[in-house]
Amino acid sequence: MGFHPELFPDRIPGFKVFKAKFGSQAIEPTSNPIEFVLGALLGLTERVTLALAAKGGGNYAYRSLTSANAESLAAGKGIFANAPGGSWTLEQHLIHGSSPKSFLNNPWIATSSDINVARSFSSGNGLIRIDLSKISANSMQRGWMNLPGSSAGYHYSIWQQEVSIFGHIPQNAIKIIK
Amino acid sequence: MEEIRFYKVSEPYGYFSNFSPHSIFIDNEKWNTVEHYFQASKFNDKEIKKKIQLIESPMQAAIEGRDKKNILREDWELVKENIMYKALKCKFTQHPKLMHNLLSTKNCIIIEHTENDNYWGDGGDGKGKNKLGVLLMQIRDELLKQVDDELIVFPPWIAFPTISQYDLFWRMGSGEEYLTQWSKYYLATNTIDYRNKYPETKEWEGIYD
Repeated sequence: MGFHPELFPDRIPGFKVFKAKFGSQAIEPTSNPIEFVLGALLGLTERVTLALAAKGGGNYAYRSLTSANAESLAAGKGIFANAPGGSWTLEQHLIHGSSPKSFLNNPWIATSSDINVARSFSSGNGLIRIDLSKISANSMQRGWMNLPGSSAGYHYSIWQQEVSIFGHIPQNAIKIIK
Repeated sequence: MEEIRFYKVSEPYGYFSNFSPHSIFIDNEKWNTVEHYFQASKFNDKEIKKKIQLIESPMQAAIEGRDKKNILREDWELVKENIMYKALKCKFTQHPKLMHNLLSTKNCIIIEHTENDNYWGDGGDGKGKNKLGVLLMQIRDELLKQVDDELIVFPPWIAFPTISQYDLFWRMGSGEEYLTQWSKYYLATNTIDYRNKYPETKEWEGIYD
């Protein structure tokens, strides 16, 4: 089964921004809808799409911090993946991210372009906004644009709007919201 | 027998208070504190429940839950202790450090000491029912019978039974915090014994491999 936008109408980046602008939902815009829709129509890769959106400004992702993240940020070091040199692919991150082996192998950092999703996972250590224009385009991926529809990680990556960032998020890309 | 008295969050054993800032996940929903969940459970009206869920502080949640203009569910008096038990069980299984603190009280008597409450607390003079303390001791005693190691961290499918292993929850914030503690415990312990005692559910099949 492939991606069916009609099944996830409120999770399509462009539509989400439309609702933020003209609807009643109190959510923040996540991206430039024209660039995203254009990118999807043209069949561009997610990296190019993200890079285009970031260039236009206002393209953010959000993450609820762990205590280790908060310590690293307080030290001015940004945020590191559990295993920055790990060998896991994006799909392994999305599917096996809850495994104990994630701490040995996972070089990906999970964020969401939906602030409400990220906020719902708060551990009391803070919520950050990440300016994606300050992240290398090659270091960001959206699983739902990469994985086959049959993959277990596919639907969750759409539903929860995950933007997976490879290795490290630099301090200057991060703003602490709360 | 030694007594442990608690009431304010900022005082010793304050983590036993329902106002302590420890979120719980029940039926796939997050509640900022046990107090939030308990107060919202008083009502059938979904709007009131949602309103309480979105309130930031447990004190404000308690005030809203006690507002006489909100209509209580008819069976509240019958179900309130079970609801409190369920919420407390979640709190202590979902926050391993709190569970370890609870288990370390062994056979001490736990008392919510306050003159503000004769039912959940001791009424200040010891004549109250201390139902909150009783439930905490009940959960502690049940857990002590269940575990071999008082520093155990339960597998995620036991602590958070409604959250899928693929959920983003596990990759940031409180979920990742829990997994960090679980992984460290699991990798440092006798993994074969642990796996035999806590086999993965079908939903979590393969997680140990």
